[in-house]
Amino acid sequence: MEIIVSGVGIVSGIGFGAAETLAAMAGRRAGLGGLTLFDSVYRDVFPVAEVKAGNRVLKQRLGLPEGKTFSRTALLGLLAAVEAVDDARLPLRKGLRVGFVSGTTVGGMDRSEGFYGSFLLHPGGGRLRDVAVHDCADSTEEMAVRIGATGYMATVSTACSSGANAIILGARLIRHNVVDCVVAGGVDALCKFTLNGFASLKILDDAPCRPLDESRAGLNLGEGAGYVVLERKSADSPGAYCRLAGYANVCEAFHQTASSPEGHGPYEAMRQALASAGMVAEAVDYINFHGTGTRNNDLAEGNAVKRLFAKRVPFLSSTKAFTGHTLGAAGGIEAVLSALAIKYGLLYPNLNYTRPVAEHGLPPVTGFRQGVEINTVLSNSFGFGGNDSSLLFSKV
Amino acid sequence: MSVYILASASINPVTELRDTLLPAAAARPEGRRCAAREPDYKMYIADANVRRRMSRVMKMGVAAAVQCLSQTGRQPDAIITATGWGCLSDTEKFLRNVLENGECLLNPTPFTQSTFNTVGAQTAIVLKNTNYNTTYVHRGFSFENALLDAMMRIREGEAVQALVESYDEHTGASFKIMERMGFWRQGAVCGEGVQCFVLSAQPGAGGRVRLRDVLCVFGGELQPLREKLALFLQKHRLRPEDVDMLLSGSAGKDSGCPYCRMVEGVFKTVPVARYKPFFGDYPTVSSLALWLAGRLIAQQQAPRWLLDAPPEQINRIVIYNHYKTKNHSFLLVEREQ
Repeated sequence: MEIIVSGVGIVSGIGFGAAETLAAMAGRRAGLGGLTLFDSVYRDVFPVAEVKAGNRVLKQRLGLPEGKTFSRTALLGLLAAVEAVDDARLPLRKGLRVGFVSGTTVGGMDRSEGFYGSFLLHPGGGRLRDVAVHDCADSTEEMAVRIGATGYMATVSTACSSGANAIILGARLIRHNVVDCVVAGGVDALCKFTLNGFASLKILDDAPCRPLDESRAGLNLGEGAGYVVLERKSADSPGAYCRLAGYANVCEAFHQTASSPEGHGPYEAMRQALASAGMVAEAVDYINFHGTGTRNNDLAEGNAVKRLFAKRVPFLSSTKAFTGHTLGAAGGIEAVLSALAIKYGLLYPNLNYTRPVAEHGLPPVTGFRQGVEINTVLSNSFGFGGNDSSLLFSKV
Repeated sequence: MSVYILASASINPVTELRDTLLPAAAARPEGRRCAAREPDYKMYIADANVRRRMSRVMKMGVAAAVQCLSQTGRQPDAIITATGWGCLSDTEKFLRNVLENGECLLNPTPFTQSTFNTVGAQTAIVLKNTNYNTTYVHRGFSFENALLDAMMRIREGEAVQALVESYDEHTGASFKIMERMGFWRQGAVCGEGVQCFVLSAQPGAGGRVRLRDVLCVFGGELQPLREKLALFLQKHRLRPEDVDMLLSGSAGKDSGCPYCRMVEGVFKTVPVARYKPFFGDYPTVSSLALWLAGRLIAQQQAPRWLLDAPPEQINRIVIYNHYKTKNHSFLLVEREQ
């Protein structure tokens, strides 16, 4: 059974929707800037890629009542999920069993961290509606109900590979005939918890991140959501973006927060994704790197790519200098970018690149290019805990 | 898509991890909270440094996995984890540090141990297992998501044996917040626990207990739930009276909520065991019910504290659970004749 991508939805620091996203890519406009969403001692220290609208505006865009409490995670997710189902014309196609699978790392933490401050001062303090949206499934259920995808629902949380693993589950739910069609991807909103977590690990760069560059010094956080609509290829499926030709999920079982320098986990994820599609490494035209800009990731991932693609290294770039690292959303956002790359023949620039990484020397694409024949794209997502996943997209 | 349960293990408020039989007597917890009875971790995690670096919930997860896998003596081909609340203790610890220390000089350990995949990842690290590994975090569907994933991996031929583990822990703050939300009214008890299962398409030496099917129903309406339960029984060519026992997710001593009343009504000729007054309630509590079902079928005997009038034979059990009126699930468990 062939699984196709029939719709996409995306929101990130570089824009709302696929058109704005591609325009920003073409214009090399990164989404990074100062933190405005909440107070933090890191406000003027670490650049972040915020979605450029407050919650009130997001609710207006979605036609939601201003007085009702939503986590920012749910609002960002709703924008991308609604775009994806409209793109696949799902609301017009009756009788489909539609499932929804969403990946997220912190769910509604953006609201519960506000609650918790008041609660710490007094056990009766804080508004309960702020903490009622804390758990990871809250945003999933908001989206599933809104887009009519309650046939089967699941929430995945494997750190930074959550979105990719949601897409893998989505494809399998269709293959096993649990549902006909799945909306899958990921979402995360910026919050104080995450910002401080990555700051405490000392892997945030105080300058715009430089993935795949020798001078890279850490990642920038971002927020957003990306969802794809997956369904089985059939005569009456609408114009598809691409196929989801293969995928793999492995665990490196090496360290809670680091990859082995050789990139054993990334290597296995990519190798098994190719094997699952029955493809050889030479078939890959472009790799959308996980490419966070940390010393550790870009070394490990690059070493793994160099080993697996020893005969010919494909085009490669990380798009995280545009969107920041959107954590649970990254796998979804980059799946959307991969689908768009195939459909429109695009290559995305790896911003802020000057010098190759000493150990592997892999040169990324630095300019936006269109009209390129892109048949197959590999999209990588690697998370804490060694949860490494790769998705392989290819022309229908 | 049925699978055999080759091995199981549980850390819960009533039994000990090493127990092989359900106790003849069990007391209801005093108050509205009950804590899991932690094992002597030295028995399961030999390295003292590794133990010291782990949080309580990580130790519980790894110990239960080690005990479960000791029954099969084989590396699992997949590690699939489920939690509703996640690593609450470390999440709170890190958040409190952020707020109280003004975001300065923070220890990153509680942050890295707060992520939902920590338990599954640690299990993989301790086992040195590089296979398929994922974590589901969907309220009362988390465990059901994990079961379905494991069943699909097995059917795909990607896994001969899959380890499914569930964990949930509560804290003083989470108990208090849920108390304010009205969770612990009508006799409900806040619980916690860790359960592990090895699932396979092939029966093993451990017996021939099968998980035949899993049904998830989303939404708060009674009628669709009733209809989906009827279809579920029909699909398996079962009448309610063909079931030997219903493990009902009723929070209190009686049938309580309208959903449990309806489901217990469908199975009105069947003995009903309400386990939550002893084990407490939490998002992945249906995993406790599945572990309990396996024990009851293996022992062919239900202790009096669980059931006043135990059935003569226990070969087929239906488990019903719901979480916050929205996530309803049914599990069908049986001994192969």
